[in-house]
Amino acid sequence: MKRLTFVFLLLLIGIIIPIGADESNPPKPQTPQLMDIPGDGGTNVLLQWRHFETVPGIRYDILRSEDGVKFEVISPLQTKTITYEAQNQPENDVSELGYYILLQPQEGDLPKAKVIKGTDANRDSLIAAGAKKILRVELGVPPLSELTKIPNKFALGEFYRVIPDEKIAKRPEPITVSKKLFDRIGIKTPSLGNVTIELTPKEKELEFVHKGKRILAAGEDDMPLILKYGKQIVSFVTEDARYTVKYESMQFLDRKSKNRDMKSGKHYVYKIRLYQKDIPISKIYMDSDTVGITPQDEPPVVPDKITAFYNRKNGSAVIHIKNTSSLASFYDNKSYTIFKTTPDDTSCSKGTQIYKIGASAKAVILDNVDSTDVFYILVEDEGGQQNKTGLINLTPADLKDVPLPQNMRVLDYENDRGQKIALRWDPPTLAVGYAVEDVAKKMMQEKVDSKNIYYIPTESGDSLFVAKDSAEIPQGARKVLELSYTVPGGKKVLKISYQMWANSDDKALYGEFKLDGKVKIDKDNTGELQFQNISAGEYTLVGHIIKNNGGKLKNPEANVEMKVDATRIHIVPIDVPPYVYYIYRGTDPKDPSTFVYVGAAGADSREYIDQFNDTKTAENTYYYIVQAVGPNGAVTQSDPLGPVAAKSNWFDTSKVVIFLSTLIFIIVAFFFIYHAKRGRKFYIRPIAGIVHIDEALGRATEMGKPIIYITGLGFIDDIATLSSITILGRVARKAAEYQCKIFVPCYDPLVMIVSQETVRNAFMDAGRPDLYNEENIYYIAAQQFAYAAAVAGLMIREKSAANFFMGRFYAESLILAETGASTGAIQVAGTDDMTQLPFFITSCDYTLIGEELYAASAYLSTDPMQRGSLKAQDFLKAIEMILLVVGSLAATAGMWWFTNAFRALGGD
Amino acid sequence: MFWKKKVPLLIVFIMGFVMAVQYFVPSDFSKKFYDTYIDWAIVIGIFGGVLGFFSFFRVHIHKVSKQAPNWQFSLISILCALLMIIAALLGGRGSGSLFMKLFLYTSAAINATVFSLLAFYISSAAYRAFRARSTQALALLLAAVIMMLGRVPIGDSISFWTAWGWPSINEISQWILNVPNLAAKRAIILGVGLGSLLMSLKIILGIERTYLGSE
Repeated sequence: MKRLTFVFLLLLIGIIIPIGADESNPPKPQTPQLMDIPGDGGTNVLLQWRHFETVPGIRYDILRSEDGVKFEVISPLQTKTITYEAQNQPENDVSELGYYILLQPQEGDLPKAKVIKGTDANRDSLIAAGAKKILRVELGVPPLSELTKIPNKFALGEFYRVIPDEKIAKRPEPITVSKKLFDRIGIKTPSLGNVTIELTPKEKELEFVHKGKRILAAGEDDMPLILKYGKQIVSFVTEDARYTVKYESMQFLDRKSKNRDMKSGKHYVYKIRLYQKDIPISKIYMDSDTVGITPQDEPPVVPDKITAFYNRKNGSAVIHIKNTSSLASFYDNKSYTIFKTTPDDTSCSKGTQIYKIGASAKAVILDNVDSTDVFYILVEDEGGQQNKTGLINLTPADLKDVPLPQNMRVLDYENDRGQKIALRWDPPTLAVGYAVEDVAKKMMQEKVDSKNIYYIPTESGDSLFVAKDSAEIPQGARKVLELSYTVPGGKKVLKISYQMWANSDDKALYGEFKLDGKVKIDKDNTGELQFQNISAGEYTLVGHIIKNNGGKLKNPEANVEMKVDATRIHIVPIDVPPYVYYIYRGTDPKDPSTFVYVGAAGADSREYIDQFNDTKTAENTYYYIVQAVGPNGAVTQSDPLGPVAAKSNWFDTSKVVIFLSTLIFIIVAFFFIYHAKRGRKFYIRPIAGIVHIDEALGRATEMGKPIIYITGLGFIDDIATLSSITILGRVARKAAEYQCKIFVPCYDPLVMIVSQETVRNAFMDAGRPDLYNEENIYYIAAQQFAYAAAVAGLMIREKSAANFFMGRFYAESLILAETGASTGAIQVAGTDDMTQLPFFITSCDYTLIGEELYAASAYLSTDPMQRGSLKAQDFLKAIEMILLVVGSLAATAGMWWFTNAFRALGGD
Repeated sequence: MFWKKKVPLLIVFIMGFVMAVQYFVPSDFSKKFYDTYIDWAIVIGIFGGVLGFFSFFRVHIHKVSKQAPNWQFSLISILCALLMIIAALLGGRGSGSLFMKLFLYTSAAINATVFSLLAFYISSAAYRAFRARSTQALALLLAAVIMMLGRVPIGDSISFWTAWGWPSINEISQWILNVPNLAAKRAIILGVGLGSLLMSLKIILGIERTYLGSE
């Protein structure tokens, strides 16, 4: 037997090795283009290259060297997963269309592909110029075996294989237009709003379709039509080569980091490595050519968008500074120094320094300036290099004051690990919008083919036109065939949408609204609620924010009273002030240059959380400045707020309710355990499933057949699995006493080990260690249905007399229980999984439902402490039931304080 | 006794207590401690995998060598397990590899087959459950019929009584799901929550120690 197995294995290896080894090397990856990011201090290099789709590869490694000899891998980069497709469709064959591909060389780049239709007039000249006739186009990636048959060439160009479809082109096109367009041409529709019209096909599209099958370059015709009827070509196949044109742009940014150094002025050599295979025993890859770069620490890049206002109202200047470049985040600009100078200082070399700020500043306020004053900004980078802007003139304006948030404060963020600082401000505000909608609107359709209505799309807006005869039909107009629209149905619904602009200190929970005496509460804070079936008319809507103690927030902004016009269908949106708050963090309140911009908050927020990357940085003392910026450029700035430092918190106050509940639970449990230990007898409720365990074991013994105990699909850290193992201990002990064979097939190896130990000890405790067989408690597979199939097979083969299913189960539960039922075994199940309980109840003789599974071990035990704990569980269930009944009654009576009290304790 | 019982109980007590406290402590130290614990759990789980592997081979090799009843199945199990291991070692586990092909075209297909058996098992289980032998079983049967009709278009089509403003079969089935069914589910969930808390407490305090092998 052993010899046979050995021979089989050798054969197997013999088959597999050639399969794994028969792979050719992939084509060489493209050489990357290197770019030194400007203004960055010489610490960033961008690598860019093209990954052509027909180049087989699973991963790129980026390699860097300082001497050009010894390369280190600095980062892996996944390629897009390509599925190799068979290419035998008729649409791939284009030989009859007579297209030629011609490569036009480009300096320093790949050649550009041109695809030209061959005619009698140009065919000879095309061939003379080196053009090749295209036989096939590939719209997907061909299999590897196909790729290696002919040489692969790469070129640039985006081409589409167009196969027009007249059926699609002639389909009427639906578009939505305003009802007003029909009013203008004197056609009344009872529509509630917009009207959907079906139009005859576009002439341009019909013309496109009539041109037939062809190959088009991107932009050669109407692009939406090309995309509608075309598929992008991956590669062109001629008699002697494949020309791949479709590629994915790849890039990698090599930058200075904790793990990798990069210095300006030092030379670095790069290459990329494309892996086709990377497994322990086989690596197939190809390297690109090497390319080098010396990153430079360039002078700082000055901001390219500066707008400066002179505020005539208060005699101050506001300068907005912005770098619009996409590379701005790499700049190593450190500070901006603002100089006041004279208009004749065109070289910006004179003037007096009036302000210095950090280079992340977005806006600066300069007090006591004159409208004729002229400024320039000196930019300094981390390396001490400097650069200057040109002269900045002030534009006089009457800037409307932007209010700063009220009662701004900074504090350590609660219940975190010391990585956050919170800025909070007031007032808590209830912002309300609403929509009046029709309850039972109906969809209507109307054929208007005979009315000769034409749709004319223009740049200034769409319009409709009724033509009396065909001579009047304007150029490009399309006939309207059918209208569809919604009509009102009677009663209305008022949909309220609201937002609570509040911070954690406000303890806001949800909104409460009253519409002429009718109250609606949004307990789950969804931000939306409805008043159904209201008649047309004017109503007064009153809204409040409810706090977590059940009371209302008192400030006027948190209480709304508004008129609602329900006579017409319309929407009143939530009105958000057009302000934005810029948040700056600094270390010295007297030195603005220490402040850095950290983020922005909208006018609808009442809190900004400043999150640090690590707790160590967050421990320092910080100050904050807030700038309120209006839509016209006005800026108001706060005084520095602080000091503040983030602290690591040692108790999560949002878990107070859980903590108190657990504490009460433990105290009750200890009380009952203590009394049980002292010998007090408790009444224990009977659990049907448990008392029948003995019956099942007795039956198995009488029949002389084994029992099967299944611990489920749970892992060792599942409470249900642990409960199952405790029951297993007792079942195994009884089995040993009755000399009954027990099988425990396991899903998880750790559960198997614990089960083996449990059964072994149970047999020893019963005085029958000789009956214990470790091979009966074994591992099957950590795959759900493999396990289910194996256990079902075991049940049928062994014809077990009793089956126990205790623990965590999923979809396999019914397979197991029904198989067991079909063999005639007595079955006892227990699980805490809600979805599987019905299956067990149906197919098993007895089922432990939910917590009965946990109670089973205590019930089976004679240990007073176990029984005391069971009593504690029942007692707590009684408390829970009382709370449920009281809570339901309180909620029904509208006394929300009862549920809110738990939230108030919890702090959420 | 000391190493087999007292030390594990002490570890369970300390770790159980510490992890319970950790749940209420959001500090940086607490987070790092929890991350380390998770890493340890993963490492221990991997060792468990090795044990499972050996158990699997031990049981099946024993059956084959003794030519126990149905030993051929054991041989197939061993060979299939070896085949998967060798395929992964030689060809990797990536897309298109032999391992992945074996997984997709045999293992996944067989899994789907076993899963599809559920449809038949549900039918047989439903037949057994819905026999109206008592008042309770009759109630169950009625609820099941309403639920089934509520899930198919015909349920609404035959609800002719909706003309008088009464709820359709679909609405009744939704009510059964949302009210009595949900109430019963929540009762079980609350019981499970309490039960698992008490079970945890018993394990931490060493009252429940059957999982260590014996009482």
